[in-house]
Amino acid sequence: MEIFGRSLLSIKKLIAEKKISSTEVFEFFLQRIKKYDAKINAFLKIAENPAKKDQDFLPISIKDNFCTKGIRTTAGSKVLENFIPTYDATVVKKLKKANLRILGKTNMDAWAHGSSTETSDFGPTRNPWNLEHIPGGSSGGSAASVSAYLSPASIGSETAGSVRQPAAWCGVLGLKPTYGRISRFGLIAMASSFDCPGIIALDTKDCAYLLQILSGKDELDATSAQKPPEAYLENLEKREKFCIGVPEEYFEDTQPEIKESFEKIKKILQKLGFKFKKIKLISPEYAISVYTIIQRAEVASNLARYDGIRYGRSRKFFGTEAKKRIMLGNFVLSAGYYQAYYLQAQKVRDRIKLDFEKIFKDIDLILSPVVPSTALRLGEFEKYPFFGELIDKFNEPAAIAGLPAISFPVGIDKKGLPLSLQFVADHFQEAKLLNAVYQIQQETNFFEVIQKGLEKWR
Amino acid sequence: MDKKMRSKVKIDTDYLSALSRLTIDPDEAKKLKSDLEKTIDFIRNLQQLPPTKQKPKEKIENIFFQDGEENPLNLTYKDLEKNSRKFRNGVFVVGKII
Repeated sequence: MEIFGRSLLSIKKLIAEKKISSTEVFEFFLQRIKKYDAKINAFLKIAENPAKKDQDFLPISIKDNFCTKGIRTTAGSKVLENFIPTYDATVVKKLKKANLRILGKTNMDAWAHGSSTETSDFGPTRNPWNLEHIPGGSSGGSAASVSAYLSPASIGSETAGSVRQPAAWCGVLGLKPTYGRISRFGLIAMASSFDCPGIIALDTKDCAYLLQILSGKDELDATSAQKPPEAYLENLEKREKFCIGVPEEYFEDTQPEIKESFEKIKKILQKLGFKFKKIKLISPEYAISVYTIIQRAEVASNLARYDGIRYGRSRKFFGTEAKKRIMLGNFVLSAGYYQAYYLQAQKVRDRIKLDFEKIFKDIDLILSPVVPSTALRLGEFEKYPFFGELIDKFNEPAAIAGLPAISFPVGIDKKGLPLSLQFVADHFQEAKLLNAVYQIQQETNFFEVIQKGLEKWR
Repeated sequence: MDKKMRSKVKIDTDYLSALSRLTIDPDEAKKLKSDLEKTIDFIRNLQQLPPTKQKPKEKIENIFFQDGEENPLNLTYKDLEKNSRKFRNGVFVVGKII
């Protein structure tokens, strides 16, 4: 029975039907990692095969900023090179409860500071579509692990684009739920008012399945939402007709093929009965600044705890990107600048939230680009003073407002790299996102992009 | 926009690195200064937004946990010791401040 290219749920079914064992599945992926990961560098740590006779486990990779009991967790930084957590993040606990087991911990920008996975202290991850290109980030290792089929799915995390953007550049699906939908407990904090665990997968059903497992209130995370998990999988089969809002100015500075893909998808969805409406949102140029200021302030606060006393090594092991962010965070919080920068950014954050609140009274979903271009070449990020924030300008508005969003593949550009778009929904409307993307998966050939990507690594 | 905000911000990397308890070498300082000043130059665009009379959207309330009453993770001193190179006789050893 061939495992290659199968979705997580398809593997689950094969195991349940006793057509294949858990041990064989884990061995299959561990062998693939051994064979291919030297070229990609998606993994920082490979777990042992946990499968035992008569126990049905499913493999999944997880970003290295989720605490995993007994398994080294570095957040991509040499500060935590020897850190072995004594507890599991709630996400890990929930995965284990649902009989999923960790295949390995994936590479990431150090502390999730970046959008290319090049700021990792353990070397960059390369894009499986073209090894001279970056996979995006900060969950670049997770996206690359799924794109090269070194793992059937992965858990990443996002503050503003770190799941959607690498998923887009690696030609797979990236779901960022509503802030608070999934517990942050045990996720190494970057910017606490944005941080959100997310899902990277090959199939919409896998996204729905994993979201169902991971969502829900957690007593250990005061910001987790009281809402119980929903039946996302069941909801996929409904043929809903949504009203889609399109912020046309978002497409102005994008690669022409992204706009062309949008036109194609618009026609198909209109045939399915979807309605389209032009909308005007606050310019993403302001979202870049709001995100940069508040995120840096929260980074400075969160990284202040690393003193090399209780765990981890001393502050001299911080890389340049982390230093830059900590220093800017302290700058915007310092006397004389606090009101002009931090407070002003919080006020504009409120304006952006209200803007979305108003927009979602008339529409169900927003359709927009994820990134202005397909994957860039290695080293590009060095040219920009704040690369991540500029490249994620279409992802920051939703992250600032805590909204859920999903990126999905829509084609391949002339350079042979995957193109993507994203849907954004109102708070806790993940079911709408998944339903719309599932209809696209069923009704178009767009998802062939995913298979084409996998074939490069058969 | 007040006068201070109109003029270009000059970053003092020595001051900011000390405030952040970070050590930076001269070459790094040069790059950091340039990048930080370019970033600040960009983020000042928020000052251009006309003010509104909008009230803060939501009130943020602190949630406090009672100190020492619960240990939901059942962590032990042994667990604390595992990741610290500075744990002796049940306490973390820290450097002198004074």
